[in-house]
Amino acid sequence: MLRWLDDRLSDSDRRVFEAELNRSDALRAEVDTLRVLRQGMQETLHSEAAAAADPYLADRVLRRIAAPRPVFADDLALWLGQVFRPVAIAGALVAVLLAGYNVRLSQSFATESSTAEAMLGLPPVSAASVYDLDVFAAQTAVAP
Amino acid sequence: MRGRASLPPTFVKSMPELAFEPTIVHAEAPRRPQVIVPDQELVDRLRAGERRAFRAFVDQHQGHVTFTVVSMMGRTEEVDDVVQDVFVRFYESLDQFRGEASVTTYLKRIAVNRSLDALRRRKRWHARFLSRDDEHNGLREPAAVETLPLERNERAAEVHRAIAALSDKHKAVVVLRLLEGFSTEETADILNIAYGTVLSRLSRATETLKHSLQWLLRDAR
Repeated sequence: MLRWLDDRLSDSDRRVFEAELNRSDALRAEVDTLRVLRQGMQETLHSEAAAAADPYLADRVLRRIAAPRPVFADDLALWLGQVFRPVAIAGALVAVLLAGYNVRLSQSFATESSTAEAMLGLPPVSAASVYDLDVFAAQTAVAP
Repeated sequence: MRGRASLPPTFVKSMPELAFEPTIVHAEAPRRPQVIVPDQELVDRLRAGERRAFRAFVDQHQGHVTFTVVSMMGRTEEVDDVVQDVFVRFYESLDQFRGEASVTTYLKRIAVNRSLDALRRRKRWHARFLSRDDEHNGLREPAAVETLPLERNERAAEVHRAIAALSDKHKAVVVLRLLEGFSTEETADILNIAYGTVLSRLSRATETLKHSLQWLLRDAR
């Protein structure tokens, strides 16, 4: 029926359908019901769609497209930043405290260490001393 | 009439009023002189990064996309967002558009899917926030935006209620096949379902609509 209403039937099918339509009151009533139903709904919805149409749609869509969109990597970085920020702050604080403690400890041993060695709590070791086992042992021995 | 040239012949044929009532559409819109440009040419220009082409594209297709979304969702505040989404999605998926389907078919597919997504969100929202009392009264559709005269608003509300009472899968078939006049094959293609499924869903949905829109049939006789 819809194909007939849409004028999509082939000539032969259309002739057969229309012959049946002439014969059958029930089919005619059915087609009429479908046509009225469709037309009534279409008219109503067209009015609705026309009322809903936004004259500035193109501008708004273009603005949306032009706006920078957060990509997944950005979202992930944002999330990681939020989750790990407290941990990172606490970790940095602990590192500073440990460095201070190491510097203070190295001063109490009165050994000749570089600033970096002192902060990291490393024993004063030079490349030459590593090969001289006695000196190395003396340098790395823990003070009584 | 804007967008008319881009519609499939069947769409126009099945809705002759489209061709003769151009003043209904965007009657108050500040119109630029409308020149209908072939879809393929617009798509090529879009791919070349021409923004003006996209404006023309939206102007040409806005009417029938809005019709699909309003038919699927009713005349609610969400319609505007969904129509925007359809065009943004089309723009973003330009690379995937190979031209196997027509631009209108491609847009319809996006419009139906976006509308269904919005309807699902609406249902989830209802399920989450409505009290038990409201649930007993059934899902409430968002209030229609009252811009039409009362009688037309009531008719429209009745039509929307009848469509809203259908399941989403039946709704999509009714909108595309019965209201927009796509062929059964095109409807099956847009919804990615079998030909026979379109026919069976359409048959069942039409019976339901006949029952719920009896006043419309009575008025016409």
